[in-house]
Amino acid sequence: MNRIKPVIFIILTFVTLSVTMYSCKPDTNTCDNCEVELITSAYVSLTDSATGAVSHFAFRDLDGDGANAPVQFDTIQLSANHTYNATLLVLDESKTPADTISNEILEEANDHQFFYHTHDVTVNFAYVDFDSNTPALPIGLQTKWYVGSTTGNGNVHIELKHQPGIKDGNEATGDTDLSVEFSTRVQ
Amino acid sequence: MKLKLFGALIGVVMWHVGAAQDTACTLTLKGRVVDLHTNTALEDVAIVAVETQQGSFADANGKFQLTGLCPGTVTISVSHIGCETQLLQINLQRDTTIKVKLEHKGLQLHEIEVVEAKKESHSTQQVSLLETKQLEKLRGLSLAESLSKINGVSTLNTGSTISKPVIHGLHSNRILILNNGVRLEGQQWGSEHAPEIDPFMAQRLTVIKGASSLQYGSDAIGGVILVDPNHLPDRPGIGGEFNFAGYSNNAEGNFSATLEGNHARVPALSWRVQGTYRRSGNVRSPAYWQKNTGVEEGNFSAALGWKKENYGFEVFYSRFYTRLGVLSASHMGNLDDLNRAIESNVPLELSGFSYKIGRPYQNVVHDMIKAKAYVATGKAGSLDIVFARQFNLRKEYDKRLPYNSQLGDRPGFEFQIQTLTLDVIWQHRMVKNFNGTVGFNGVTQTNNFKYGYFIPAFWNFSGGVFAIEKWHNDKVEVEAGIRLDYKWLQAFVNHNGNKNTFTFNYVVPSGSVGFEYHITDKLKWNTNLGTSWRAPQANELFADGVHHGAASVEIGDASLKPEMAYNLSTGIHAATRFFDADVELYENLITRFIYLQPVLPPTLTIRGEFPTYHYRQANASLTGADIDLCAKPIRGLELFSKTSLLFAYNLAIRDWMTQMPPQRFENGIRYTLRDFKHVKETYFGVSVVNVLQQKLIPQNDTGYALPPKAYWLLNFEAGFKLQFKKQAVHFSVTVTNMANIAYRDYLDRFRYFTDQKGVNAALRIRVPFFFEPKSKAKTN
Repeated sequence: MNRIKPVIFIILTFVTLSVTMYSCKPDTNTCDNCEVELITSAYVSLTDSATGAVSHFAFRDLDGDGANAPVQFDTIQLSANHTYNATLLVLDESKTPADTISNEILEEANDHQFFYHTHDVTVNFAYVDFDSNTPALPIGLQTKWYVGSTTGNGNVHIELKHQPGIKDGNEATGDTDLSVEFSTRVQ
Repeated sequence: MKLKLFGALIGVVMWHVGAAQDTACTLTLKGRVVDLHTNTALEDVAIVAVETQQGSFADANGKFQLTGLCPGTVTISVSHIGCETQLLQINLQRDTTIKVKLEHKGLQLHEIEVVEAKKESHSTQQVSLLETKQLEKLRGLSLAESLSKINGVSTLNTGSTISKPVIHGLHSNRILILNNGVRLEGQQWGSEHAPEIDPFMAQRLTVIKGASSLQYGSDAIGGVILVDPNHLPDRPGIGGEFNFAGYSNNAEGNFSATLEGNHARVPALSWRVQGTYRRSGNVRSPAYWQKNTGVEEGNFSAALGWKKENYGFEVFYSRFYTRLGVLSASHMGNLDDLNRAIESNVPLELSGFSYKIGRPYQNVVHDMIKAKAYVATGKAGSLDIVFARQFNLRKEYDKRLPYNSQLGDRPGFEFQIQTLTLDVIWQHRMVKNFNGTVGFNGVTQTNNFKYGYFIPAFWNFSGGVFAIEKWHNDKVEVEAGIRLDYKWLQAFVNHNGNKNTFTFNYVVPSGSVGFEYHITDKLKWNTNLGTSWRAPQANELFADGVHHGAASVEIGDASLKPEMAYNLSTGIHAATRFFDADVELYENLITRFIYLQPVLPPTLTIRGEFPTYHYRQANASLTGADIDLCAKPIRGLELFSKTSLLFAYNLAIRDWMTQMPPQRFENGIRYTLRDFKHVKETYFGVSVVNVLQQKLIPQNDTGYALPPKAYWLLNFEAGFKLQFKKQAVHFSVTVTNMANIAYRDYLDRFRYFTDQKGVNAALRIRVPFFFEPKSKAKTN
């Protein structure tokens, strides 16, 4: 009988332990307020410097890095030989209200730069805004677009580089935070 | 409702295995008694295990055998007519064969020599061990790096700071690690999540290759790794050891100390405390420093035991903490960044030497508390109960800080997983050549996360019952077992504004049969057929997003079914005076193997296009061989050769499988000198490791660059022991990659970004110590 007692004692101990530690449902609301920073949307606003007419073009992929296709991906319409004042608005629209990432980029302007390129259409870009590095380096939230005389279809490629402490005006430096290739028509 | 009730039931009676074998009283001590001078057999010698009063007589050949012994220090009395009875103490950890040499006049006990210690009790499977002596040369390496010395085990690396063990081509969730008898549960699904184990705690590492769900539960498709400390001391006194290991390449220092004791006044009580601290800086490749590859690690464990003849308790606590840098140049914004990194011969971010760890880095804490009890249930056998709670907190810090500076320096991902395990195992003593085990083990788990979504919150309950029976005679050992597992998993997916709850149920049987046949004393043959299963993991079911570092999108599939492995292995083992050989062949057929299949079109995001992979299932066949040969032409000289071959084939797409270890060869020479005064056990050796280019890759493999070229490495090792009376100091030196070759490895996920470690010299010092209590000193 002496041998049975410790067995019962031990089993009871473990059953008690198990019962007390049993109820562990996970927090099913995790990420209701999860502040993950995403960039979901880029809005390009173009003001024709001659006419003052404003047009907006957007890329919006609301699931961020998820596998769903973008919900909006506009074709940029430009007029040949016109000059535009361009501003870029970068948002996280997965949040309500949307988070204005471009303001945060501006706060970290010394670590960020936008780069602009074209394929098959002629647009020359000039930076309007500069950071507080010495010497000052461009940011690229505000730019001037000089459209050439040829009409046709092509692309405008906008890229945001994150260059923490290593910003050098060079596109090859750092990581890519944003890279959108807008279809573009010059008329 | 019914389901919940069942879940609750399992929660109450949780169970799980593995822990038990260390107190199982099933060990065998074989031996032979010979005359010291004439070397002839002595018969009619009575051999008695004092603690259990089991006895045996040496036969006409001087041979004897004691079975059903408990592990730990066993006192053996050796008696001969007309002589004084002699006692000898053996620290028995597994089946052991000894040779006792006696001096005939007055039967002075002269010498015992451990001839052979058998590989655990998983005899019909392929089992490899690393013990104190081999571990001594590996101190300071991670668990995976240490285990890669075993033929058939390789490492899956994420740069030089993260490595995971790979057994016969399988890793992560497909192998099981038992840390001091408890199933290690962290976030092992991630290939960049290294096992949370302090290798200094282990005095023995065992690898069971091949499917072994039977004793250990689900997931053991590739094999099982057992990490075991020594048993708590049962000899009065205070002992322990101090370890130092320093490495030249990354200015790494390792300090580890163990202190343990037992007191003559309270012989049942014993204790141990152990701690390790490790710090390393940036790793040097032959041509440059790898930026941000430092590691800081601190580990602590404590154990307290109470051991009586018929019952015992043990409480164990351990904490593992690491903060490890991840190569700066490895973070990819998009595919263009990745291609740029691949085209560059050097990492795109370089630095000098530094101990500083910046973003990106990982911060991991793993806590375990374990309580164990053991009761001898009369003559019938013994009962073991182990309860453990593990808590794993993993924080992964991305390279970039949040845009919003108010969010501060917070991690990109945080995972918290709590695991409770309970194992109840009953082992019956030998009855007519049969011995066996029945058991019952269970796990409950709760997973939460914060910040970024990668896997959902979930909870699960799982449990299994099993029975294993063994029969043996002098020549043959036959083993068979069956098991039934149940697993319930509920996941709460809350992603992109959608909330869904998924519930999964699995009921899976598994089994194993095997035999070991001793053809002669020096030659044996073993064969095992075992099955194992694994439920799909949260990431395979629910992943949805970019995997940075790989710059690819991974998409899970909630309809995946469990994998089932059928593993056949056979081996021939010869051990002779001049030649040792272990030849092991295996075929692991895995149905519904889960893998990542590239799909088109690539995913378009605001960061550009990403190649996209879906989790799919297909039948797979992994065939391979591990061949170990060792020639000993003259005393002290060993010429050894290790070959590890693997052919992994996807039967559905009729093509090779991706990310499998390439063929690997190691050839070397080792020479052990004779003892010279205080200098003992002196050895030195060189070896050449040769890894071929992996050519067995799928045709449509969208791996961004071809597998790295074949490489060879030259390694050197030497060591000796200084013995002053009772105090010994062990020294060893190793130099890896002596020729400072720049190479990349196919199983390193950072092979696109950087070369491997260059030349690395290590110095290791081990100082064991033991202080006997003064009052007791004279009795020995």
